[in-house]
Amino acid sequence: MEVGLTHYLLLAAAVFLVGMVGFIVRRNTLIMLMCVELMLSAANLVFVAFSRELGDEAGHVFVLMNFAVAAAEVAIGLAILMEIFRRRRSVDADDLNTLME
Amino acid sequence: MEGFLFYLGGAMMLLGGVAMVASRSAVSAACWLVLSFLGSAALFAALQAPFLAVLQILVYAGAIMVLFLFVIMMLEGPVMPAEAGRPKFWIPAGALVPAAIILVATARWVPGAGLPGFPGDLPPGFGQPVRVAQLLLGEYLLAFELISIVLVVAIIGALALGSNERTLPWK
Amino acid sequence: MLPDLAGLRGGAAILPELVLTGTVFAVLVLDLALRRSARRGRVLLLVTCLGLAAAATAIAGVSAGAQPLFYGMLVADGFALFVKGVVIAAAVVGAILAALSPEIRRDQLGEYLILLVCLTLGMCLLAGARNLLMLYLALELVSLPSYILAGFRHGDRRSSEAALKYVVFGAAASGLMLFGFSLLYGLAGTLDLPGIGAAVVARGLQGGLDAQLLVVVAVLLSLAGFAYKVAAVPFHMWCPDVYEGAPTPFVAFLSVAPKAAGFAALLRFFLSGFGAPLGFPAPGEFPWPFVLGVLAMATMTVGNLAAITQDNVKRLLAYSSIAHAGYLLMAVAVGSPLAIRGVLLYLPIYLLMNMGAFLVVMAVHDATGSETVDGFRGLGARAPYLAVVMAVFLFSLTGIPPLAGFIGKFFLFAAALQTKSMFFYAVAVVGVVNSVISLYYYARIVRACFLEKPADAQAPVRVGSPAAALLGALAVPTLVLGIWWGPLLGVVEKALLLPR
Repeated sequence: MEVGLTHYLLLAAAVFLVGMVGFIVRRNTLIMLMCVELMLSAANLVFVAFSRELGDEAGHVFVLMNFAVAAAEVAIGLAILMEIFRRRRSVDADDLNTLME
Repeated sequence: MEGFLFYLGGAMMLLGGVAMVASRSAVSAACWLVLSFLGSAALFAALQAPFLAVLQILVYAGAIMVLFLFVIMMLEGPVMPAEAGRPKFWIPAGALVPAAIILVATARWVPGAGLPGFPGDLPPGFGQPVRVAQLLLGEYLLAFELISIVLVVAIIGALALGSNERTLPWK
Repeated sequence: MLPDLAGLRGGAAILPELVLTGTVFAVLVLDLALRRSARRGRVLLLVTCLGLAAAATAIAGVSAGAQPLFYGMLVADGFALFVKGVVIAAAVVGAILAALSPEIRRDQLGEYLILLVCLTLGMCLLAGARNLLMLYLALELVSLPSYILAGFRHGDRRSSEAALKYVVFGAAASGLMLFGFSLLYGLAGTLDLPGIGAAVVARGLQGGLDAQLLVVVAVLLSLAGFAYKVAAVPFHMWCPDVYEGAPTPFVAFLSVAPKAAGFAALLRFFLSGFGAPLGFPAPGEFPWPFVLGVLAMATMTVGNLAAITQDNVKRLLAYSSIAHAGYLLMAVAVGSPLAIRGVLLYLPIYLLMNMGAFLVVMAVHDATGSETVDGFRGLGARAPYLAVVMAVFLFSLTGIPPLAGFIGKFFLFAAALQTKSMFFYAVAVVGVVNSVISLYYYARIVRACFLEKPADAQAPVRVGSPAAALLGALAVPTLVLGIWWGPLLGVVEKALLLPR
């Protein structure tokens, strides 16, 4: 059976949902950030699949830019995490309750 | 060949993702995420995007995941709680996998989504670095320049956040 | 082989952005060069303000036009230029606030200012973006410095926690948005916003059910990203925590400028993407005005109801800013020319009153160490000037007639009523009820200032002369614009004169 656009879209949607579910249920900030990365790579897959379908490389350019943005986002997220961590010793999102009191 | 790559890459990406979400420790989560990214690189290759496939491995599986692992190694130990008593989230997450596999396998019969394969005629050199580079330095030049500012922000930000405890040599 | 460069003409139209980029690097170099100088802070502030002023001058020099620039990446129409002017004005105030505040460490002022200017650059590009890629990158260029600046209050656990919360949920929101964008790209076959609009409308009319469903999912996902940026329900949860934890000078800026740019981008996304004006749905189209209207009602109600119980003034103002996002969202839902005029008129007025209120909070905090409503008790006796201008800002935020806030709200509500649809009448009624609710919590602070005695005898609160002058510069227009709004309206109308 020939593999086409719809296969990729469904696969991307499934991966995206896994990432989203993970983001919601996990409380470890590091793993939450990884779940976001999974969501981003699902979006990248959609871009590339549509690029293939349309024969247009604009989607490739978008994915390329997204690599850089994701790297910047992760760098900043992890820098903030380290900063907290020097003082706190926990990366559990439920422990972030100074603001909730 | 492309069909084989799709099923191989798709399985890697999906299984890696579910295992990542379900894994107890951050280290194994990161390793599963690498598997997922490798799968995604295989899918890019199947989609005639060789340049992106290589970059996916270099940038994502290489640089970004190394950053994650580096931070985990620094924090691992007494610091990371093992999320004891967390609900059985892997059941809904795991249920997604068979659901997705069934969906993909039966996609041909999804109503309304007449399912041809991809069009056969691509422009010559599609997805090769030359063509992507021409777009980057032509039509998308402004976005390309903007990315450099985004990266400058990330560098300055990481330095500014990191320079709290001790003074940096140039301060 | 060099690609065709003809489409790159139009450099003159991005002169403001180029000036901002130059300012970033000037501050970066000076920060390093002057590291041993005692006057470093003042020099950096001066250079930043000069750069921002130069960018504002450059905006005045750009001839507004609707023609796409840089292969359709950007457009420099009157709408974009007006929003750029507002965000640059906010950046000037934000830079001065940072220099006045003890919450920003002196040796980090340079980094703060660099990131602030980068953020401003992102907002300027966001206002003019007419391509999905540009929109995404500009939005990230706004988000990333925001995450860092939210964590700039060193030694304060709440600040880093606020930053972490902001970055984790912000990254997830941009993930949702990116997935939406990827679907839009595929459905339309282009990244160009007007092109996407045409394709989406065509799909909505003739595509099958699945295509329509995909369009709806794509737009809803994209909407999530915008909702996060402007702190609309259901993506508002970060807002009170970040406002409470982040340094006050940054919160003053965050509550105004990124919100303004976010609304500009949202308006362009919906109007240039989906055909202006959005009327009520034609058969076969998804009722976006209805969705946005419901979101607007939810946003104002949640914001106002939650604000009532807050004791921390920064949290209170956070919820109040969520409520104001709701009023603006109502106008976006209407989408008529009058509504766009209302949004543009509201942005500078909101800048004046909200940044002013945060400046008073900052002054009170620096003098008394308190950020709660109780800290304002007896302020009328201890610092009459602060108390009076705070009352002006708060009553203006409520929308009481002789003040500027009234004029801003008037146009927003007029736009809703002009639609003559039952649904928007309902939205407007909810908005009016909400304004009445907001009077309660704003007045609580004013009452604490004038009618309540401080718990213990406290020394008068002193305000430095720069802060006092800045407060005056924000308060006087708040008063004047309420009576004499003609010139501002004239500028807004001139900005909207050109076809978009």
